[in-house]
Amino acid sequence: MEAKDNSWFYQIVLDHKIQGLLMLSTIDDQMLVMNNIEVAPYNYGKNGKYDFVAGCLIAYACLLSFKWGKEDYIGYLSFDSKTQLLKLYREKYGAIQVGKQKMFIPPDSGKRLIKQFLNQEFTLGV
Amino acid sequence: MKDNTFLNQEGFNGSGQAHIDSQSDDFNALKLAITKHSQQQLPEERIENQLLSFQLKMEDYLNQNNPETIVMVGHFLREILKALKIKNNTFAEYIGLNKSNFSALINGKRKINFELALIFSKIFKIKPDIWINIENKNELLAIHQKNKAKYDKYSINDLIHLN
Repeated sequence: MEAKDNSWFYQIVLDHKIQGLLMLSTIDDQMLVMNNIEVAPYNYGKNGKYDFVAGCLIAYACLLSFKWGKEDYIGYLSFDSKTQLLKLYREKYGAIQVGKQKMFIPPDSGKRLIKQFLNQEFTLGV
Repeated sequence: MKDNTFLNQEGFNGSGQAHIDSQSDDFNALKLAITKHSQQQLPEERIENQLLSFQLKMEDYLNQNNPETIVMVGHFLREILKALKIKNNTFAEYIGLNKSNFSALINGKRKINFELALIFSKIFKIKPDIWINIENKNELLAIHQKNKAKYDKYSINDLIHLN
C-alpha cells in the first residue's frame, strides 16, 4: 500500500505481475471514493486469467469504507463508472446509480462482496 | 480558495488523472443520495454498521506492531457511545458502574477486566478478547516504553553464547 495525502493505492500481484490496481480517496475525512480501478487486460471478462481481480479490489474498498467512512458514509463506497460498465456494477456488485455516471455501493452489497471475494465473514462476532 | 480537486499523479489509469470535483452538482447529488439511503436504513442495520466500523478499527489497532500512539480501551468505548448517541451516565448506570469508576475507565485510568469485557461484548457484539487484547497490548507497550533498555538487552544469541 502507498498512501499519498488523503489517497491510497493498492495493487494485487500474482505471478510476479500486477493484476490490478486501486486508487481510493477520502473526501472531508468521512466519505470513501474509488477514484480508479484498473485490471490487467488479460484478466478482462469471464475468460480472463484471474476474473476475480476486480471483485477483490472492489470488496477490499468496501471493507475500507466501513473502517474509514464516518457518520452517514459508513459502509458506502462511491465512484464514477464508465457508461458501458454501469450495468455490470449494478448487477454484479449491487451498486446504485445516481445521475449519469455516479454510483455507490451500499453497506449490504459491500458485506456480500466482502464475503464473496475476500472470503471473510464480515459480521459482529460474539 | 480550497482546492477541491484530487489528482492521481501516478497516472496508472492511462489518462494520468482521477479527478473528483467534490463541489460539483453531480457530486453533491451523490452525497445527498447516500445520506438519504443511509438514513433510511433500519435502526438496527445502522447500529450494526457503526459497530462493524469500530470492530475493524479495534482489530486494526491490535494488528499494528508499534502504534504511533497508545489508544486506550476507554477511548474506543467513548467513541462508540458517542456514535450511538448513548449518554455516558445512562451507560454507566446500565452496567452498574458508579460515576467515578466509569470516568476512570473512559479516561484510561482504570483497566478493563474480564467481567467488563464480557458485558461490553454482549452489548456491542464486539468479542471480549478484542477488548482484553487492547488492554494487554497497551500495558505491554507502556511497560516496554518505560524501561526499554532493561528488556532490549535480552537476546537468543547472547543466551546461546553463554551456554
